[in-house]
Amino acid sequence: MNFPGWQVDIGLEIHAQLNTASKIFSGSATAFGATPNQQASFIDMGLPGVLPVANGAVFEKAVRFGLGIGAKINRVSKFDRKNYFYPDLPKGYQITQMDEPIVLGGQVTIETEEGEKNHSNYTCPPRRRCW
Amino acid sequence: MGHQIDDPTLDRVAQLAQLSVPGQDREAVKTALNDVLTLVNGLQSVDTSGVEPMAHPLSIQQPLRSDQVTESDHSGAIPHFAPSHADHYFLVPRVIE
Amino acid sequence: MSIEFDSIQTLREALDGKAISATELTKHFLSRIDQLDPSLNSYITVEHERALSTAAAIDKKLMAGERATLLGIPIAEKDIFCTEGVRTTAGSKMLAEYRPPFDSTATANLAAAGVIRLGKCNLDEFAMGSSNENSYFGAVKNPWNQERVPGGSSGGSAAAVAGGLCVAATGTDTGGSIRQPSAFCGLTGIKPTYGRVSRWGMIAFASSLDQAGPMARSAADAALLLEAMAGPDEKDSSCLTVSVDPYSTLIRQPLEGMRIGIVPSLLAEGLSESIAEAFEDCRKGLEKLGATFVEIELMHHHHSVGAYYVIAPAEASANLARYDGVRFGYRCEDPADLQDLYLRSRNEGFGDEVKRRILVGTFALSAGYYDAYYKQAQRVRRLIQGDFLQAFDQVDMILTPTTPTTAFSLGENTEDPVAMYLQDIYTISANLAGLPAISFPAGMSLGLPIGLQLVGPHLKEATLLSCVHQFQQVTDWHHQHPRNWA
Repeated sequence: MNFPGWQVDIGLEIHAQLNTASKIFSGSATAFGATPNQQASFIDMGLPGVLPVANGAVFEKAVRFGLGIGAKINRVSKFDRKNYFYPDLPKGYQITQMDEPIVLGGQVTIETEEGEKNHSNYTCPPRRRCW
Repeated sequence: MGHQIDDPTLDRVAQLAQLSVPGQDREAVKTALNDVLTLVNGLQSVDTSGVEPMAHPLSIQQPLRSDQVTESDHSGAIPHFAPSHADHYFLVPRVIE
Repeated sequence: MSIEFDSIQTLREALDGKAISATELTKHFLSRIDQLDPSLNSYITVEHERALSTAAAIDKKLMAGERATLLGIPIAEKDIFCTEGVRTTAGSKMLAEYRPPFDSTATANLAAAGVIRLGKCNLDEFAMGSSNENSYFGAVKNPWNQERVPGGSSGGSAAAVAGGLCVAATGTDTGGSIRQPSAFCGLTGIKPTYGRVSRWGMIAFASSLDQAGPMARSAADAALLLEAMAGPDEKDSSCLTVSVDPYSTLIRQPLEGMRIGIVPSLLAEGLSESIAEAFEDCRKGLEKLGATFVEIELMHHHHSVGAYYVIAPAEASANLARYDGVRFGYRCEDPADLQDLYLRSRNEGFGDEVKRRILVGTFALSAGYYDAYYKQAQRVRRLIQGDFLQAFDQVDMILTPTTPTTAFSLGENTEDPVAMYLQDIYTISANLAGLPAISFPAGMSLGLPIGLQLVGPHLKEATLLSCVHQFQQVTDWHHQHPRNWA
């Protein structure tokens, strides 16, 4: 189909999992193929009184990935709470690096029919409880 | 800048918080919330130019743990906390139409 | 003095000297609780069997010659600390039947020190309140006068200690919830430096403000408990890794040469006359003990309550999002769909004050308001801390009232949330700044205790405890307790 005067831009939000042995905020296993909730600890379940403890390997691997795509590595990064309700979100918020992520920008080179294309990494503007 | 909580705002905030405010309570809740905002609005007069927000009272660095699996399988115990569960699953009303 | 009001030191000697066994001591308190607590409502759960079996095990240890400062001392814990297998409600319908699968670190530390836990104390729901009138399990009465509140949120803990229903208790303090009830009930209660006591297993209200601490009959007793409760914990990233000072030894430090700050603007308005008088008397007493007083200013202090009532509700709104009826806790009957499940479980499970604060917090974090409210409050927070840090260049600690009045009447402030919030006017700033602060008995007015507060620099709990201990060597306010109140 042709729509003269219009150009289609499609953004891809890609979630890639870092291959750590344990989870980012708990010592639970990350092995593929476990039965449901077999690798869910008290921390993952968000039981009252639990607290997350950050996995050092996550940061190391994130920096490596960032270096690999030519991204800016932020010396200071922080986690925010992104609040919403969903049954698979035990705490009712996601611990995420919204404001100051550890890796920013960078490029991924993709093979297309027209040859190689470099695609820059866009981050969307910070959103807070805006829905 | 005095933000007052009106009906649309109350509805939006309640929706975000997954709370509802029944009809007979609405006025009382709005009054209570607006009283708190009056208390809080004094903050607007403080000159905070150049001051970094403080999320945490002490400047300590994030401790990092080593990438070890330290947890065991709790799937036998955890679902039993749930008001409704079957096998290893937590049961909720249908999510996707 | 009957044993229920004895100090830890006295009880220690009695236990070690076999004048009394841990079992007899525990039975004594349990029978007092059964008899007298119905008129206070300070306990939500009394652990008769468990306490007696712990006592029996401890008696074996004592017979075998084992000695430790807290071994066999009966205490109570605020029902916000997770206790494995034992109901932990946070004073809420939401968790009315919840039994945690693990102990809080504070609980585990005290158990390792050999205390006997008598039960879980009543509190304002999710630690939100200043009167213990917000509990799903009913209001708590002040043993000094049962028409008065014991304070909150650790009202049950305060009433239990003051009424001789335990030797000491644990509390938590987010905006004053250890210190204010301690003041209303004639106790010595300390909120340590943020991060001094682990928050693992402490049901979260406002994560950057919450801190656990002891509520006891004296600085000496509080020091012993804090020593046991505190310490590094890798399960809590915000817990400090520095080792714990030996508070119980350090309290003997004399006051000679200590500089104590006084903030004139805090004494200007809204303070009851009897408390102002007690303040002056205390000041003179401390001067006689060798302290010198310096007038200081805390420029942004009057914004404390405003900053707190943005930050605390905002953090609470996120911390309480997990209570959704899905994985644990209260779920409404026959939810029609997911939305109904969330709305009704939360509306039915939470009390009014909790809902109010969640709404305020959600508003302050929402798009369009986040910068003006939450971020601005966080900037003001840094300014408030900065004022204290500057003051501590000139003084070793700061003396203030703990509360504007003595214990108010039940029902007096329940219609006016903001009037209730202003009760915390002297206590809130220490939470914002993460500083240690202690409340101690310094007078009486019309049969009700008066408490005063000392705020110190980060990690100077020993300085605060020793100052109060020295004061308690030459005064006897802390020895007074309500009589014939049952």
